Amino acid sequence: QGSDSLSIKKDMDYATPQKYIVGGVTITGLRFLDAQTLVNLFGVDEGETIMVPGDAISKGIKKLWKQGLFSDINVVVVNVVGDTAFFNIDLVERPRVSNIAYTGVKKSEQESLKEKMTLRVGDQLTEYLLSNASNTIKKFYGEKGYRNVSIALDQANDTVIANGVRVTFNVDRKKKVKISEINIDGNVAISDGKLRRKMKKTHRKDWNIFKSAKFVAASYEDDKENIITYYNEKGYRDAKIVSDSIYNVNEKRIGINIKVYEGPKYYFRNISWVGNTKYPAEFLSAVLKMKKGDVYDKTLLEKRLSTDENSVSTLYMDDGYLFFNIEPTEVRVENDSIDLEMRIYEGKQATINNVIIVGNTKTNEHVIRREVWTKPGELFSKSDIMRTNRELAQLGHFDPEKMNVIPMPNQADGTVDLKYILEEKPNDQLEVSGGWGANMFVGTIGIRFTNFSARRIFEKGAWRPVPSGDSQSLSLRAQTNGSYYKAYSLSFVEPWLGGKRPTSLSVSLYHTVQNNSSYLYQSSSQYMKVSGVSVGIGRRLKKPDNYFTLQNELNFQNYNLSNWNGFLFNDGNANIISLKTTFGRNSVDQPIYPRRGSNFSISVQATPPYSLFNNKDYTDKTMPGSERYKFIEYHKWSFRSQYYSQLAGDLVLATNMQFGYLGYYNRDLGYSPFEGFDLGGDGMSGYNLYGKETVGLRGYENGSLTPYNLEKGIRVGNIFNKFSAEIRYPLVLSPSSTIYALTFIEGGNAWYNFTDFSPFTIKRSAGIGLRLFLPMLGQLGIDWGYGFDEVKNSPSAGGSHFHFVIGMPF
Amino acid sequence: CSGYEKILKSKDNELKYSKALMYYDKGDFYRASLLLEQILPIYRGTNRADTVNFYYAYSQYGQGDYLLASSYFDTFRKNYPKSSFTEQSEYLYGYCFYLTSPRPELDQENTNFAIEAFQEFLSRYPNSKKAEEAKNLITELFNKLEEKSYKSAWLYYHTENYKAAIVALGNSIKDYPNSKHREELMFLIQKSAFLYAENSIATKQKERYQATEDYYFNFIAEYPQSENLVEAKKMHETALKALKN
Repeated sequence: QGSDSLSIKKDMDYATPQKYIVGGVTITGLRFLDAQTLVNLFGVDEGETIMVPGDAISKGIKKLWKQGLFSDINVVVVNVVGDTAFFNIDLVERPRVSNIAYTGVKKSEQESLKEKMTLRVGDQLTEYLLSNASNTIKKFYGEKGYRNVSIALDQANDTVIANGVRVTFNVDRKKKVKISEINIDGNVAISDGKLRRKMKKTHRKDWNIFKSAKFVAASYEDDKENIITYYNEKGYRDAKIVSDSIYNVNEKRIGINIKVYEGPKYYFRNISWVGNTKYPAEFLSAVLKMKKGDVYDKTLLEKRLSTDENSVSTLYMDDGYLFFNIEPTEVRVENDSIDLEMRIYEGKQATINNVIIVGNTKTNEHVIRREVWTKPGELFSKSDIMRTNRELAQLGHFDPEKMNVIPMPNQADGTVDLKYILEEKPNDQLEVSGGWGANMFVGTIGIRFTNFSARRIFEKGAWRPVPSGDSQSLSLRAQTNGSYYKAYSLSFVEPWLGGKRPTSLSVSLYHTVQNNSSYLYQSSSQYMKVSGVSVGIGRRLKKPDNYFTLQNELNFQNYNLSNWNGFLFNDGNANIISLKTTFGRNSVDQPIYPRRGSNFSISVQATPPYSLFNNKDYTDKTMPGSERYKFIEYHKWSFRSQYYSQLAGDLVLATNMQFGYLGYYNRDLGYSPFEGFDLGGDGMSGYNLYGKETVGLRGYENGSLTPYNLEKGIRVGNIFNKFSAEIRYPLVLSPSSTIYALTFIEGGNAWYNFTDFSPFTIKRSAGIGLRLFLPMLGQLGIDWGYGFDEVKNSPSAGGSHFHFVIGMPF
Repeated sequence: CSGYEKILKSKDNELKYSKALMYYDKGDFYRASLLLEQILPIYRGTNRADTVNFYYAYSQYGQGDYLLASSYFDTFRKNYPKSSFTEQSEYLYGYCFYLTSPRPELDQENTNFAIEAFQEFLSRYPNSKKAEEAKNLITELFNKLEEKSYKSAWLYYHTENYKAAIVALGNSIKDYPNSKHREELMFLIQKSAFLYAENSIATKQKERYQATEDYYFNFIAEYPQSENLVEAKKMHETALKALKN
């Protein structure tokens, strides 16, 4: 078209930008794509005034590149008429990936490999992307120990999709490669074995099948660091790895050579402090707990300065000094002695301004905010933040591993905003189960909502699936064997009654019916009905410290019998009215996999002492049971303590101590037939007529340690104690599941009479187990225990036993 | 139904395209989206690309997956700035966030996204038919943020953390000066400050009563007709008495 005068083909001159009116944009080089769409996409319109060269054109080119459809894009000014310019975009279309296939990749591996692959159907086919994809596959297998993977690539034109290419990765993963030897050279002060043990993930193949001997490059780098860190901890601050190499032993085995330089061992000499105005040097030295002559351990120094719970920086950080900074500087090194100068920048004290909470997509903000210890107007405090994290984790609505707090300081006015970032996790539990109990099959259906909101019951759209957000817990449960046994229960807990203070209200109702009917809804004249209600108020205390709680609970229970055998009497009512007070302290860091903290409680439950004032003669053996037990009386004492400590990393020691005693007011009436203890076995409370408390003791048959009272012909313990120690190690810690392995030793015993009580004649056991925690199902577990001691009159009680655990027994 | 399965498995892209449009027009967004998803890569860079992409995004919207839809509308408005669907996309991008904006007690991330998106829409299409509606929605969303700020601050007052309440209530006024709770916020600041002083140890009391005076005068100057005036005055008098001693 450009005919007469100006038919120039001029590349853009980047030196002198000039204004032009766009006369038109054309496209050449297309084979499959539509020109008009691409012109629109280019975004430079006819009639528009633009700078050449300039923004508009480079933006357009970027947009075209972003499509990933072209291997070359060239914009040329083809014609200029006066101040009007005509443009042409010359494109080279690139073939696209229309299908990706694998051979030699196991089905089970395909899914996780696909997730890692960045190459997608529809991508342009470039050498770069293909080699990237091959590398991803190599890395994927490398992490699994296949170091000699070979990949052959097939490309074939797609017969259906124009310009499409079908890509096939033919993978041969070859044999798994393991490490057969790790040779360490140059070390004198620390043995090879010790250094090898410091390598956490890189191991030689040996007898220990739990230690993987595969070679993973990233972990190998970490493990080299670990060696140096260990040297540093021992005072060898100059230690380094001089060289390291990997060699092939054979096609299945590799070896590693590491050469270290140890250097001299150093000690601290003088430690001085500069820049401190708030605390004197002597005080800071005392907090540091490191002195002249100590081994120069950089890791410990770092801990004492920053990361420990009672470190120097925590001292400042708990008092608002958010901008606090400390720089330990080596001011003099003489022979093996080092003088340190601690250079401190204290900065201004920061006051908290805004507390921002994000990530709560289900839980109402006030439920979270009321647990937050860092409050506007208070000084910044690191310990308060940690406490808040603990309490928020305790709520159970958020993933504790993903919680985060970001301080956003404003140096100008000395304030800081704190942003708590949370991630909700599913927390409701459904229980559908069936099991044998009291010689019958009992089906159970139950559901437990832990983030219920009663006030939203009538709100439109709140039932998704139930009104939620107020952290109330609601559980409903129904059990039946299909004919003569039915049980229902409901319980509800509001953690902050009235929203002003953490005073909890709990209400529970239950009703159990046993009769002689042969189908579910048949009514019957022979029955035993047990109904009860209890209401409790719990408070968080401020003294002795604010981890303490006090709970008061009023219980009413009624046994109503008609023509029924197998109870204390056949017709009539028995009633229990009791008040229970529990005093406890809980500082456990999180509920599902606690690592540190303790939990103890002591409680007293008592009924009124009717026998003291009702003028009944209980020595009268002819008194009918319905008269004797019209109002049951007892007092019951329990104590329990749990203590968690971190042994190393995630390895946790949990110790547990328990004691219980059921006493009576009236010698003639004696021990109450209700509320005793049942010791031994898995600790799962099943069907139980007299409200006995089930206490587990692994390695023994269920209930086998409960004494049998010959005189009364009943099996019940009125006093018991139990000790256990458990070491736990997590295998999986994620919101979708927590799995840990455990090994335990425990011991305990139960007696009928208080006078027989002898706390150290216990039945002992030891064993191992596994626990699995799933969000919808709660806890599941299996333990194997071995009971060492013989139980009188019950030869099969001890020995080897498997126990299944469902739910979370306290 | 088996007819639909056949179309899904067919290799005829033209057929899929026309059937997708048919289902779309019928409001069967689930079926439309499955077909559109298949032909998305096929029509990339062609004159049908914008139609297919917009319909695909809208199909997600039509199925109620607003978060997914919003991300598709977002991609659309960036990739096809000159399409006849662009204005609608920009609006729907914000509207998806509006629909997913939760009650004030929850995280307001989507509320903020919605406000931002509508503001962008208004600056780009000030004369749009939807402009008025966008403005109304912005106001509604803004009220939600205001409500959240008010409730958070009020909680400190309610739980008797008066020192925190003074700061938080003050921040709420600062962030939302035109809040419909302004009168209550100002009154609660005075009341919190007063209760803070009243519950303080003797040595700190005087200075803290003094601090309540400013809050009192600010309050009565702005709301001389307030129904809380009597209580405010009473607190003021108590403070004065304490200061005289």
